[in-house]
Amino acid sequence: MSGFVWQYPAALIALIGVVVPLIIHLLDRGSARQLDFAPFHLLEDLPRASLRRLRLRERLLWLLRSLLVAIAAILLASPALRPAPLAAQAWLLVQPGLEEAVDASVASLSQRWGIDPGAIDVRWLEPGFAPSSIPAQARERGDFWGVLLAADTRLSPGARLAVIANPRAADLGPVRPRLSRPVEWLTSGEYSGSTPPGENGPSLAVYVDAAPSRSALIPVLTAAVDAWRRGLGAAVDIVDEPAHADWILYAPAGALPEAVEDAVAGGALLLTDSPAFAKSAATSSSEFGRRRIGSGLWLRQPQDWTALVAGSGDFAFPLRLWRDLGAARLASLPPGIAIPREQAAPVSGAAPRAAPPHSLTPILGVLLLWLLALERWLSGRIAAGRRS
Amino acid sequence: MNDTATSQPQSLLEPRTLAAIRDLRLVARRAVEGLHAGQHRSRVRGSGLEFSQYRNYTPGDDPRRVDWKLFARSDRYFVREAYRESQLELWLVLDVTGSMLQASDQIDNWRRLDCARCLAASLAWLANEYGDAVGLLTIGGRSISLLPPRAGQAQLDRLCRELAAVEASGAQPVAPQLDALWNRLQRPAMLVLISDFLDEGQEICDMAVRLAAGGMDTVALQLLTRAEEEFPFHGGLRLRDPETGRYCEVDADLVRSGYRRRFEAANQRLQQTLLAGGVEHQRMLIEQPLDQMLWEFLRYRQDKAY
Repeated sequence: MSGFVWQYPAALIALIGVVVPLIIHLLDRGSARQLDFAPFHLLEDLPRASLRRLRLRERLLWLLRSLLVAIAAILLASPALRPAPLAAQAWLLVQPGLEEAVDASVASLSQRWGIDPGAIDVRWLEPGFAPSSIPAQARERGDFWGVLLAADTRLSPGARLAVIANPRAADLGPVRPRLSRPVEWLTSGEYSGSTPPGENGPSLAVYVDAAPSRSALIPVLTAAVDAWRRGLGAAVDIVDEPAHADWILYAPAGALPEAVEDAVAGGALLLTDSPAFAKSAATSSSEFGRRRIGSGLWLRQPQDWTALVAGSGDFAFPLRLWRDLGAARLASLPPGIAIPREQAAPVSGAAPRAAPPHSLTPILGVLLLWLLALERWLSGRIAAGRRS
Repeated sequence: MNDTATSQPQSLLEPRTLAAIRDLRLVARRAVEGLHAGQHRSRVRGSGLEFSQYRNYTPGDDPRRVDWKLFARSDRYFVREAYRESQLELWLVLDVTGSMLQASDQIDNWRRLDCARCLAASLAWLANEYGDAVGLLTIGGRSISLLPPRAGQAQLDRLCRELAAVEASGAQPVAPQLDALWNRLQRPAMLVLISDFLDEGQEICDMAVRLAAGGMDTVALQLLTRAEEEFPFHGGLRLRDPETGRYCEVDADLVRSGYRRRFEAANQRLQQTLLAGGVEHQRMLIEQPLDQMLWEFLRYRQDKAY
């Protein structure tokens, strides 16, 4: 059931103004008086003598004017339509890509909540909350917290909410919300027991120079990537395109290619050693450490990796690199890494909030303009009929 | 005469005042007095029994009218003049159909019939002054009142009484009533028809034409109200035909132009019919002062007896 809300109900008193068109109408009518008129036969069958049509038009005009006043009064009262809280008993929101965990999750949830599995409404974790029976709209991640908050307001107060998601830092959104209900948070693997797919780890682009001076880095960096794979306990994809990479390990000396700079500006994490420098940015080659490029980050280490490899040996290098990464003290988790649940889960305990009402003002405004135009036209026609 | 003296009879002859005066004799006397004050016309003098005055002989005068005794005394030629004797019968033919009850929308208690009465009484008074015989016939009403023409003050009194008693109602065929008049008409006679000439069948107009064709000097005095000419109403109107009692509802603003066109067309037709039939047509508004109506009437009649 949708709720109809007046934002300024006191303005409805303006509805009294409806009597004004009525008075105008009655005054217009009041002029009909009886009269003896000798040249009666000259009037009898005048083609435009039909009073009935005029009366009809006048009545229509009165109706229109009353409607105008009423709508204006209603407009002042700012009516709004509150969307109906959904009847669903429980929602399971699935992040697109994690849908294979759904069946097991539904079974488990129905057991835990003690409700029929059919009563659990499975929907995509995306702004429209499309049912999972139709393909998800877009794979790009949105505002995870915002979407959860929207789901919380849409659901009726007693309904339960569960979510299957592995949000990353960049997906979380600006504000951690406080919801009115606890959210059952299922990571994709929790109920299915299956290993999560590649979504779970960062994708990595590794650029290695074939120049003789730096060719020694190739096996070392490969080893580093292998080590990280193990260390993160998740799949680390190596991608060819820097645009798709979460992390970019860039070994060649010299200016960064544009594609790499663009990827960093789009949010990726770039790791280089000292011989690499940015072409476009006004960076002196002596500047090291963290630098923001767009929404991404460039960690430029002061050492030359070749020297490092030569100094510390092949085996220590990946560890060293990993440590350096940790020492960089990133403000948030590096891109591509699923953030811990306790950081991502919304807080519960807020008072149930109603979904924001849809204001009917624009529709009424347009209607008012239409009626106004119609009224002007009709009154003009009556006046023109009188003049002719 | 000073200003107040001249303005008094004029104000008396405003319809507003006339509506309050029931004494037709008074009205008629005032109206005709006003005419004399305007020195437009004096009593017609000629040969007759009642002495009026002497005047100098001018070549062309009948030598028989020279007063020879006076010539003997004064050695000058004087012509003896007397009030002209009545030569003419004036018939006042008054339409008393229901449409004559049309009231003015501007002046309270002032109907077409009231105006017609005053006008008829004034004309009768005027004719009496000239020594002509005046008769009255009402047509179109339920009962006919017929007063055969006769000269003299007593006739004038009778006529005024008769006029005051006349009421208008309904609409009766005019043709049979005309026959009653026809038998009594002596020639030459002058007929003044006072009517609105608004009847649908133009019966009174036809009658005027018939009378003119019969050799009568016929004048059609058409009395209209300003509202009939201009249709100044607004909004919805429920109109009643005073003759048939039928109703129709109109929107005044919608029908005004159409009505005016038809009204003018009907009037034009009327004028043409009357003109072609040799009837003199004069259109007057009942909201006009009475003396102004008489002036108009006489101005057109200058070459005639009145």
